[in-house]
Amino acid sequence: MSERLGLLVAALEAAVLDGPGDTTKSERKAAADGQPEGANVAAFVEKVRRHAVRVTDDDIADLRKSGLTEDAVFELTAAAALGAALVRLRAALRVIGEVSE
Amino acid sequence: MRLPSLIQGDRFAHRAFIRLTRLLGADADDVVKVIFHRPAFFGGPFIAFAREAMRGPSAWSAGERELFGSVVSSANECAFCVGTHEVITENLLGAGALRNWEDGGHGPRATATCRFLQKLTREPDAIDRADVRLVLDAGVEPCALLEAVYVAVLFNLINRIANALDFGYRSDSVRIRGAAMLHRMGYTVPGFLMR
Repeated sequence: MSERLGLLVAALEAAVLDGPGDTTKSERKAAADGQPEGANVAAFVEKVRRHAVRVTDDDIADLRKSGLTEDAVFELTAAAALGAALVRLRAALRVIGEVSE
Repeated sequence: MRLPSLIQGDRFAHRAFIRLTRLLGADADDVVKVIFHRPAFFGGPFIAFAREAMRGPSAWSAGERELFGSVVSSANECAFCVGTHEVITENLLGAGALRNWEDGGHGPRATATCRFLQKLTREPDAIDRADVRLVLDAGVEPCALLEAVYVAVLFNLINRIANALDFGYRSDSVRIRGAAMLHRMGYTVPGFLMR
């Protein structure tokens, strides 16, 4: 069962990070890894990863003023959120694997 | 919703579906609307993962998985996701289900697993073997713990999107009816809407 779930997560990761979009694949990969370029994008990605509840209307407005489309903002949000979720998956897989050995 | 173009409906079928559900008083919520937007980018693979994690074959009941999702959403302070999934959790596990899990109200397996998922969500770098052993000692098989972890992965993803983009409800009654519909549909979306 968990093998199938792993495959579905891999498919989601491929779609979000490798599919076509208003942002480049490298920009989305950097957002997922928490290391994007540009101060305002970096600050936004950090918020999404660590405490997304603190994102404000102004954060989104700043990104839009810098020239990002709404789709680009969505892509960076999804990539950053996915990256944070995958950090938790890898941490759990590591410790469960260690105990099960 | 901070990115309004995402929830308007890309195609006529989306707009018709959104309008119909609104007329029925169980609005397609912001998650559903975002799923419709460019489904190949996010919505398609996301809903496939969600359906399998929440309603696919599992060591956990649907109610227990809803409880896990609610606990993770609380840890992420996602009022939108808590608002939906606490309704389903309480429908399946009883009133007050989100308050009594810490006291073992849903059995030692669920309590230990909820504690693990809560820590994994808040402090992923601090999770260690002792945390896993506590869950296994409560009678949870490693493969069952892994299935619960995938529920946490799902909610750690959607909680962040919902919080960052400020998902919301038109009213409390719409929230409750929308949650009931999500449960009835079992996390499925008509295929013609996902093209």
